[in-house]
Formats: sequence, C-alpha cells, structure tokens
Amino acid sequence: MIEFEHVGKTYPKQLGAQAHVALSDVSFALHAGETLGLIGPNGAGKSTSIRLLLDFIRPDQGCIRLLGESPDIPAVRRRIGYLPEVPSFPRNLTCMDMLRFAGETCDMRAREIHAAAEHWLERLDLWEARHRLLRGFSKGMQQRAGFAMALIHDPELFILDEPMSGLDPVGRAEIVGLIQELKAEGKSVLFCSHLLDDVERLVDRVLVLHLGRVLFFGTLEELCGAEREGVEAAFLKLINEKTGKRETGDTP
Amino acid sequence: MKAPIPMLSVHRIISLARIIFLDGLRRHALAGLILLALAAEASGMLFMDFFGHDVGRASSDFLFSVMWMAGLLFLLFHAVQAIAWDEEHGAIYALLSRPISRSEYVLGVFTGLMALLVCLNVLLGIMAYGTLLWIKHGLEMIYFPAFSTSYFLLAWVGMVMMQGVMLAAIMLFSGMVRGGFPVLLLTAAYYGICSGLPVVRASVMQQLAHGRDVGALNHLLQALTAFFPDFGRLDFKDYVVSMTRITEINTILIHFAVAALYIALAVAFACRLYERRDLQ
Repeated sequence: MIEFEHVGKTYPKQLGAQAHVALSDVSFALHAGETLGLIGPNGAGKSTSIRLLLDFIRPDQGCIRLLGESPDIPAVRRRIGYLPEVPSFPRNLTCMDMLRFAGETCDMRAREIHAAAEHWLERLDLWEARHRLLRGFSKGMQQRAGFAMALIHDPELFILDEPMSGLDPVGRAEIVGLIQELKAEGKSVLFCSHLLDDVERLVDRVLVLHLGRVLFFGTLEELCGAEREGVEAAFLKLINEKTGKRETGDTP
Repeated sequence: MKAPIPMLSVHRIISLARIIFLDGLRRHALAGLILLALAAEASGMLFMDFFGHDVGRASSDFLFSVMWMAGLLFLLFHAVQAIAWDEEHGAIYALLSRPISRSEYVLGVFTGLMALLVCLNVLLGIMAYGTLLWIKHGLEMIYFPAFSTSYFLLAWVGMVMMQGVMLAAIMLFSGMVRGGFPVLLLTAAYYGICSGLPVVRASVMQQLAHGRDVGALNHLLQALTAFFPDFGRLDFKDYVVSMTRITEINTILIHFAVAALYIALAVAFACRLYERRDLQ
C-alpha cells in the first residue's frame, strides 16, 4: 500500500528561515489491511511524511510508492481518503458542494454522490447542516466534514493527519469507532496522532519519528517490550534514550 | 523527482471551476461590488443633465470606465487572493487531495474566476447598454447622433479580453510567488507597465522620427510588448457612439487572436510552474 524507501526531505532556505532537514533516510511500509500509527514529538516529520505521500511536496532523496504508483500521479488519489490535520475549505461553500466536488473528481455519478453523501453525513451527524456554509461550522463539524470527504468515494487506503484533533470526547470516541469500523472492513489506515491512547487502541504497527529520523518501526508489543509498559511510557523512554535526556514525563 | 506531464480532464476542471464560481458568487464583498457598480452605471442617466454636447460620448466613456474599474477591483481584490487564500488557509489540501493535478487546479481556478468575471461584465454590460439606450431616446439626435449595438458588443468583448489577459497574468504570478500581497504587488506593477509602455513607445517613436539615435531602445520596448501587452489594441469604446467605422477587420481579429494566445501561454506557464512547486 505504502512504501517509503530511504526518503529525505529538506525544506530549502527562505527569507528569514534557514534550510531545515525534515526527514532523513526514512523507510517504512504499510501493507494491505494494516493500520499504522505515526507518532513523534512536534517537528518529528509526521506531517512532512503525509504531505510527501499526497504529493503536496516532493522528496529530495529516496523513493515513495503509493498503491504501487508514484504519488505524483493524480489518479492514485482516487483510491485514497485523506483527512488533513486542520480541515479547511473555501469559506462560502456548503458541505454538499464540497462532497459533490469530491465525488465528481472521482468520476462518481450524481445519484451515487447523493446516496454516499446522505449515508456519511447521517453517520457523522451533519445531514441537517448539509446546506449551511462551511464557514459557520465549528472545528469539530469541519473535522467531520473533512472525514465525509475522505469517505465518500469508498477508498481502500486512508491517510489521516491527527484525526482526533480538536474534537470533544464524544466526537473523539465517534471517530475512533469509525476508524475501527474501517479496520474491520479491511481498509488500510495510516494516521498520525499525539493521542497515544488512541494509537494504542487502533494500530497494528507503529512508526516513531524524531527529528526526521526513524526511532522505531514495529508492533506495539515490540515497542512496549517484555516489561509490558504502556505506549506512552515506552515512547518517552525511547525518545529519552535516543536524545540522552532523563525521563521528564511530558506527553508528546 | 521530475513532475509528470499531466493528462487534463475537462470534467475535473469544470468541477473545480464550479466551486470557485459558487464560492465567489456567495461572497458578500462581490455582491457589494456588483451593486455599487450597477448603482454607478444607473447614475449615468444623470449625464444628460450636465453635458450640453457630446452626451453620448461622455456617457459611454463613463459606463465603460465603471465596467473596467469593477473588473479591475474584482481582479485586484478577489482574483489575486484565490490561490494564495487556498494555500494560506490550507483549503488547497482538501482540493488537491482529490485526484486532480496541479495543472487542473490552476485551470479550474482560472475558469471559475473567468466565469465570475464574465457574469459581472454581462450584468454591468446589460445595465450600460440599457442606460445608453435610455439616454439616447431621451435626447434629440444632435446631442447623441450615433449608437451602434455591434460596436458596443465589440467594445465589451475587447474589455473582457483585457481583463482575461490580466487574470492570466495573475495566475502566472500566483504560480511564481507565495502569498496574496506579493501577487497583488506584481499585478499592480504589471498593470502599470502595460498602461505606461504604449506612452513611452509613442514618445520614443517621436524621437525616432526626429532622427535621434533611439533605435535600440525602440526595439527593446517593442520586445517588451510581448510580455506587457498594449491594452489599447483591444479598446474599441470610442466607436460605440461614433460615426467612424472600423475598416481593418483583419487587424482586429489578429489583436483578439494574439490576446487569446497570450492568455493560453500565460495559463500554460502558470500550470507548469505550479506542477513543479512544493506546497508549504
């Protein structure tokens, strides 16, 4: 589904900002039906990895394969559902306008778009608000609208950037439930999150990034080790070992 | 990694253009601009009370100036922001995460904005035409001797074409630099040069006619018109209320063809630049 091979990305020097190495020699893979959690502190390279996958930015080194294709082929995104960290839409559109656009770009017919929109907007509790302008949506509603856009064309791979960010506990539980449903349907999911409890509940494997490098890639059991400590404790231990710091107890 | 040559889909371009059009149509500021411009045009009906002679020309110039200004305001305050806003607010991620290429994105934005621009001009054009007819019917022949519908249409199409050229340049600048303000500055500079270049050229031609050695400068200025077109070649508003008729139809067709080619090339370059660029 996803293959990252020795990928490197440096953001070039700009006015008032130095060149910045965002990713260095990062390799990992996501197989069909698997859920991979991308975790790491701020600036670890999680969002950069996701932007590379969606071809928003291009790598300087290495090779990326997405569903067997290069990410710069737009047609590959027909098979992907993407949720940005902060979903943002043109201000004067309604949820239905965006879903129609999302469906049309995936060659769905008007009837199919309407049926899928009704299904997912009902499921995400947005059906009543479907004709309201998106600029009036709360952050949680925008997040759910973004999810509806990711789901409408029934993709086989989901790339979710902080899917639980900005949601209240009810909304968060709903989205966790939805991801679990997608997992049960055999969909492949790559998501990054700061919420390690959610990572623990959802993922099959985990990739830990720190300062653009891979610190760990494997199963949760391997990360937590024989002592069976929690994901959060194991994560902090790993970061502190690599950076040579004492354990601080700060959550990522 | 080398950017691939994209296969363009009209269906996807229209899909994107539709949401760009809807987004603009529902923008309160644009509705305000349309209402203001319509009110300004309606005020043209008062012209016959202020001008003793040449009311037709004064009214026509005023109405076309209002249409041009409204289009310019649309370009400088809405169009220059279109791509920059998407990038700054992250809406571009929602759009480009769909199976559309960067070129389709640029073409979709251009088509949507152009559709808005044409709609704005259609509304204002109808109002201007009605106002001119109303003024003409209210006056004696001596004050408003000629009015040609076909030349009105020609002048209208020429004006929309000029605005299309500006819009294509805005797309190109949006592909070159990031942020709405730099695009605005480049567009303002571009418009200034396009407006000033014919004046400078006329002055240099005069010096040339007087035998001064400015041949190289003249060639340089001529070459610059390839990048900064002379909008005057598409300006036919003087003919709307004139007895003079255009005889060089072929020249006019060539001017329109050159402007269309300019738009196509500028948008093609914008697509190519945008294909190669990182979104940050």
